[in-house]
Amino acid sequence: MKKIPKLGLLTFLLLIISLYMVFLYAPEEKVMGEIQRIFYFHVASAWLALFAYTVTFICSILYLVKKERKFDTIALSSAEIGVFFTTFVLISGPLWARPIWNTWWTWDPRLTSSLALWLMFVAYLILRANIPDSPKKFQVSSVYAIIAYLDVPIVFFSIRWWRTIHPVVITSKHINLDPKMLQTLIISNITFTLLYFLLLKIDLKGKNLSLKLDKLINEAEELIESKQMEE
Amino acid sequence: MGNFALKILKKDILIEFRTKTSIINSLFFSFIVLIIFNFSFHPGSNSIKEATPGIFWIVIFFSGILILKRIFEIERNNNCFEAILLAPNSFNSVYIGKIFSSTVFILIIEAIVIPLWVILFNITFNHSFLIFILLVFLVNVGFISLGVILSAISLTFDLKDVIFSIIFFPLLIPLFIGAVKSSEFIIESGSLDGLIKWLKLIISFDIIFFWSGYLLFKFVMEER
Repeated sequence: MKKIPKLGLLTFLLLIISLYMVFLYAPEEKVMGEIQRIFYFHVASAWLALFAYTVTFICSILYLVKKERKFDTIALSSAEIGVFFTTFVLISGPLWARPIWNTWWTWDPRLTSSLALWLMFVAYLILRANIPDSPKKFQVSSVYAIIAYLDVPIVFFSIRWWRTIHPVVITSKHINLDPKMLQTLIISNITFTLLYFLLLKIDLKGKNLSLKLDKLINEAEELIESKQMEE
Repeated sequence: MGNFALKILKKDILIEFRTKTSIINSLFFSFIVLIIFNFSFHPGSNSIKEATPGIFWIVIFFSGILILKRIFEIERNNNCFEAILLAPNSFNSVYIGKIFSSTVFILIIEAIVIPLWVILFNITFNHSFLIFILLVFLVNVGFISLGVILSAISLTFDLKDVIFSIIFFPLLIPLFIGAVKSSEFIIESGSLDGLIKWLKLIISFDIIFFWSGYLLFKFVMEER
């Protein structure tokens, strides 16, 4: 019998629970109404993305120290997941902002920082896509990931100051969370963290398989060549 | 180490002096960009005043990128770069040397672009001009330290012209904001406190990227 994947099962259950909590358990927001429920996914994705980039940063340092390919693979997978969820943050933000702020986009500090973060890690993926697989590639992309991650706090501060110098026309309303809302937020954050590990696991499995396949193809080609030489 | 870095500087200047490509190209490019920007505003309108610091820094960053992109190309012919790496010196001295030579090239460009910008955009400085020069130096440190290491990274791929800008610009966002905001303070005589806050941001950018570049450069060079 096939083993039931524990992590997958747990994530699935938690996803169901958080869906229940987001749509039925958490009370409706007085001013914003139903649209506020996007908040639970939005914040959880932002959290997940930051978490993923931190993993990329740590694995890049580990690669430079230990030179083991697995760290580079984890760094890449994690950055891909991070970019995916930052994209989701950038899409869900305007969806919420349109009815609430009456505009799709505003150069609010957090929006702008997320956009800058997104640009940096998309650049990381583009960089990787343009170098053929080699230790050199892992080396330089690790260096780039470290530099990009170090830039994150500076980006965050600069953009916050940039906006606070001028009066901000539209500010995000301070949301005092109802305990039920807070519980929902915490659960959805936990769910997304598990989702991250699940995605990472699946992605790494795929990447390792394709590495194995490459190796087998190489071996087969060598074998064919040596046979041809004999003939 | 400093000695070797100075040798690289001397060599790069000599090559540049004989070929005259990098500096002339980026100078002319920055001149064109300065002119082109003028056409996006109504003549004599006020919005151009608000945009001038941004225009200046965009011009400097664009032409600086032309310099930084080529800073390791100088040795590409005849595998001269391998020879430099083989020399009994630490990689870090190569990093410092390249920072020296790009600084010299970019300073030459700035020395010509700044007067042009002041004349073409009718700039008057309300704070001292010396503070502006200090700002330019501070921004150069961060811009060049980051640019040199990314230029070394971009040696690894073929489409480096495009990719270099893609990987460089997102990281420059905070430095750009800092540079533009501080220039606004200097031109419009804002409060000195506000200016100092931005200068602190630029200095922390400089320190973080000079040191991370210094520490990481050897990893970029190690595997070839």
